[in-house]
Amino acid sequence: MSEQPESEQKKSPVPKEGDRIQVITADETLEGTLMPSEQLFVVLKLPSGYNIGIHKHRVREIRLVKKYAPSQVVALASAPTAGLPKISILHTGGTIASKVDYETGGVTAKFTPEELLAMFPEIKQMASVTSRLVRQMWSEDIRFSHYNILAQEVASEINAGAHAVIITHGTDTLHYTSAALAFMLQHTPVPVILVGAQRSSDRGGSDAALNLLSAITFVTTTNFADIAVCMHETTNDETCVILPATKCRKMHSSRRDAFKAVNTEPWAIVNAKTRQVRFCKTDYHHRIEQKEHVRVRSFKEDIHVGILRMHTNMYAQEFSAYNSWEGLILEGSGIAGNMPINEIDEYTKEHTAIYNALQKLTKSGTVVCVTTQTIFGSINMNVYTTGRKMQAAGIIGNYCDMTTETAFIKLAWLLSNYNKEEVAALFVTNLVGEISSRLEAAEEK
Amino acid sequence: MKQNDWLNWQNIGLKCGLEIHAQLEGKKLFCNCPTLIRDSSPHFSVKRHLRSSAGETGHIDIAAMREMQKEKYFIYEGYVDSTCLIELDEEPPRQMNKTVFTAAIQAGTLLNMRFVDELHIMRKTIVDGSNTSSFQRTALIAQNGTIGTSEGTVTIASICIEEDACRIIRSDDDSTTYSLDRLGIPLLEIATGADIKTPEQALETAESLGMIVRSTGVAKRGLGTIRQDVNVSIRAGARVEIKGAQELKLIPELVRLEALRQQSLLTIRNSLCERNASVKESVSDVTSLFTQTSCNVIRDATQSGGIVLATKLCGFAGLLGREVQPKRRLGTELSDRAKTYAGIKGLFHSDELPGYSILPNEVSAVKNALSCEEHDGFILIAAGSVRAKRGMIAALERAQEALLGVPSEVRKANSDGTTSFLRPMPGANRMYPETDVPTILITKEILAVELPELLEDREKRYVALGLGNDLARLAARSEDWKEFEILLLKFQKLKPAYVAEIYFGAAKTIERTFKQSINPSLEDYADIFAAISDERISKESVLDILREGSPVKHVLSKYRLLSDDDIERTIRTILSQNKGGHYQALIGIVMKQLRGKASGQKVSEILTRLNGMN
Repeated sequence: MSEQPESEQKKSPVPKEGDRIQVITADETLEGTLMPSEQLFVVLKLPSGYNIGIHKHRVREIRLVKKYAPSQVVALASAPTAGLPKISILHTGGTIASKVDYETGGVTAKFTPEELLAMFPEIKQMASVTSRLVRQMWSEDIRFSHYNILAQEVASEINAGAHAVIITHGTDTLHYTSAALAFMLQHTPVPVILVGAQRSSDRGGSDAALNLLSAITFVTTTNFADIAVCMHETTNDETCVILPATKCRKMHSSRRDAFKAVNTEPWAIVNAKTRQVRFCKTDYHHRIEQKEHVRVRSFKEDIHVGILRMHTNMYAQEFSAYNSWEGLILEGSGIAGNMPINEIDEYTKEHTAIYNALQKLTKSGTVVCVTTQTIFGSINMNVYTTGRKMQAAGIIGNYCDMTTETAFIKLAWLLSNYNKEEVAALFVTNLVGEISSRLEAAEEK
Repeated sequence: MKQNDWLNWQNIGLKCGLEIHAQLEGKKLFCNCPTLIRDSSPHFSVKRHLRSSAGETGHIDIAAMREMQKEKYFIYEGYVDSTCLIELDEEPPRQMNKTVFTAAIQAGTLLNMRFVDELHIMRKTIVDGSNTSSFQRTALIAQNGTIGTSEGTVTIASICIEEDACRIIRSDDDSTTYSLDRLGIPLLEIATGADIKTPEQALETAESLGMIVRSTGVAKRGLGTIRQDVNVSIRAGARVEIKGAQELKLIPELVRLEALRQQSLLTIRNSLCERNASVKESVSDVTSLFTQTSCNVIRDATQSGGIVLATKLCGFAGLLGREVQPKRRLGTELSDRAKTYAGIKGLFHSDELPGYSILPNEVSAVKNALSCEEHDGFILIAAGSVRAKRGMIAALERAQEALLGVPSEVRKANSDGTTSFLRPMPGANRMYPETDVPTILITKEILAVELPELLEDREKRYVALGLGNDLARLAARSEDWKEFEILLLKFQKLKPAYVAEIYFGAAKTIERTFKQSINPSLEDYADIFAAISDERISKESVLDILREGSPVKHVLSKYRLLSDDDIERTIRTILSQNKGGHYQALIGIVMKQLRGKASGQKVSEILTRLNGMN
């Protein structure tokens, strides 16, 4: 064996994150653990646990004290309990399964059943869990391709005999995904529940545990078999709501009860602690024991569908940006999903240009549909002249009460699977519970 | 301090450190809510559970796990106009309120500390429910300082900027209720090194640090606004953190009694070792031995379906009753644990039995059931089945620790200087970065703050102005010292001591003498001092004017000094009515009539002149 040159041996290696180091400056020596550092600063975790930043230009020398040796993870015994329902948990990223590394300060994701059971030990008594990472991503980065991958994974879990599938998901676009799955999978023989968290699981005050445990409670104690979302009902850590996949929406940027049913009631309220489920509506599909093979009707990955939100002082250019797109959702104002198309004085000449741009879109084959930015309530395009003019221009969506997000997903999915005439007819037809035949007078909660 | 005292502390290896937490005025640290502590009934309440989960190392923080075992839920009460979604942990924190830097940098500079180049906000895991997020946000801004004391230099380890926790309202077996009002109030935390050597030095250090914090001018005032934690250990003992010493004067006693406690626990440990003592976790159900008991605690428990559990403690006889602090025994420490973790109110140990209406025959029966020998002790717990078991496990754990010496733990200061168990010492794993708040550069601009005048320097300055020592101390430490100095500047004809006496003392004198509470404004005082300055009123009438209520300018005319002519006229009338009267008698009558409307000197002058003429 050849000996290494002496000078090389003496030279201390460049410290890496997690290494115990000494930082020597002109007037002090600080010892601690090297953390992921920034451009201008060496970030040091002091023995007290505090991180501090030391200006790199002050640093004379960094000495390695001890190489980082990751601690052994204490694996908890996780033999699946016999006789419990088999539940597949699919992860797509987001805060629900993320965890901070106390030693290096980085955020890691926990996805194996062992890790999941270590985080949520209660699951062991409730179900036999398999768990898998589909994609680790922020939910705002999701594209149609990811819906196709996810739906395939769900279908194969169901076809392999899963009692239920639970999907953990970032909350920002969770309601787009739930709607996409509803159209792609149509009616599943077992429940598919999407669960998110507004506070990451590494925090004692996280909402993740209750959301996940409520979803498991729900699928193991009822014969419900639809696609739904399970999140906190209120700001209290007490109950969760089971929301219809196509009729819910994230209504708050940060509260744990951000998800609300739109133009309908939640399917049910779940109390995971008492294991009680109270159904608010009973028109859900029941679990089917003799399962047919679940098929997926996918999205065309290159389909172009946009959303244009009405605002005052619009320009025709905003509409012509969608020329040659397959579909466009106009999130208009009020009951008719109105757009500024009336020239009423010398200041509104642009509105004629907008109307012409819309007509050009529909004539060239773009399917243009309206929703309303009031979020709640139905579209009725016959109430005002504007709505009637829009219908005359070939814009559809009358009598629908879909959220903009659901309408967008539905339009893209229809355009992926049907011809233009079918799309126009199906868009205004209820397929998977996305359009209400009547809006009940129940008080909004 | 006596020489042999000092030797004594040195001999036992006393090490003591302090943590001072001072609330700061202004807005909350991470939101725009006011720092308002309220007594009125809350506007809303929410219910939450907090979980502990294994860290990356696979270890669950001991303190965190213990709290979870208690299976409590938490109620948070808030006010719509002074607590927001951030306190509720329903919105991420905003930027750190930078006004707190001024106080931190002033204190750090006065304590010769080094500031960090970049401030990192950390999350410190706390799962007793006192933080809705389950962690406290804290950031280290300065370290490595010193402070002088008469017994030598004490090192200052760190200054941190922290958010205060929720205020506990009430607690029962299932839940704890907190008020959100205190959560997020900025705190300055100053921690000394563990190099304080005597109880007296601890007090002196705490006083100096308190003085420095108060000197910054932004520290809150009033009960509970400055809190001291005391860390104590002796050689072969363990670090014990004592929380909640609200009175400075209690600090030396806390240190003394904790040193005593650790010494006693070490002596007990030695005796236990000599006896080869052990704790076997075999618990017996002895409910049947107490069917006829006259002990209320046991009867109440068994009649409501509970059980009586007993466990033998081999070699513990006589040591369970050994005092570790005045009126607190080893048995008390076992009982504290059962109380904290299972809400057990009735834990009895063999050294206090027979007693509490538990009769000698019952004690013998238990001893028989457990096969206790001469040196063996036992403990009894009566409660509901689940709770009794949980309490027994907690008590046995403490007994086990007695075999090892002193457990490192967090204790709560009692008002007599003794302490009770609060929670285990949190692990080192409990700090990780607050990713929702960006780091902050500590720039030259931030560091360039004007140093405040120290309270003790201000006090000296007031003494030099002629204020008595007590008055100078009072004035220097008053919230209104700036207003006082405005008055001094404005009324330079008046003696500073007189202005101070009225401004800081008149209201108290009126309160004491007339049981009347008054609340004059700065303007009221200015009006009075202006009138005295211009000799429009006499000093004798100041208290009477203040007693009339605010604003004083409406009543000043009533107390206006009479002109010389008016005085002369009054005196002449009196003289004519009391012809041949003796001077002493006459001045009495005159003063009675003119009190507050003419100065004594003037009256005497005129009376002497007129009386002489007669």
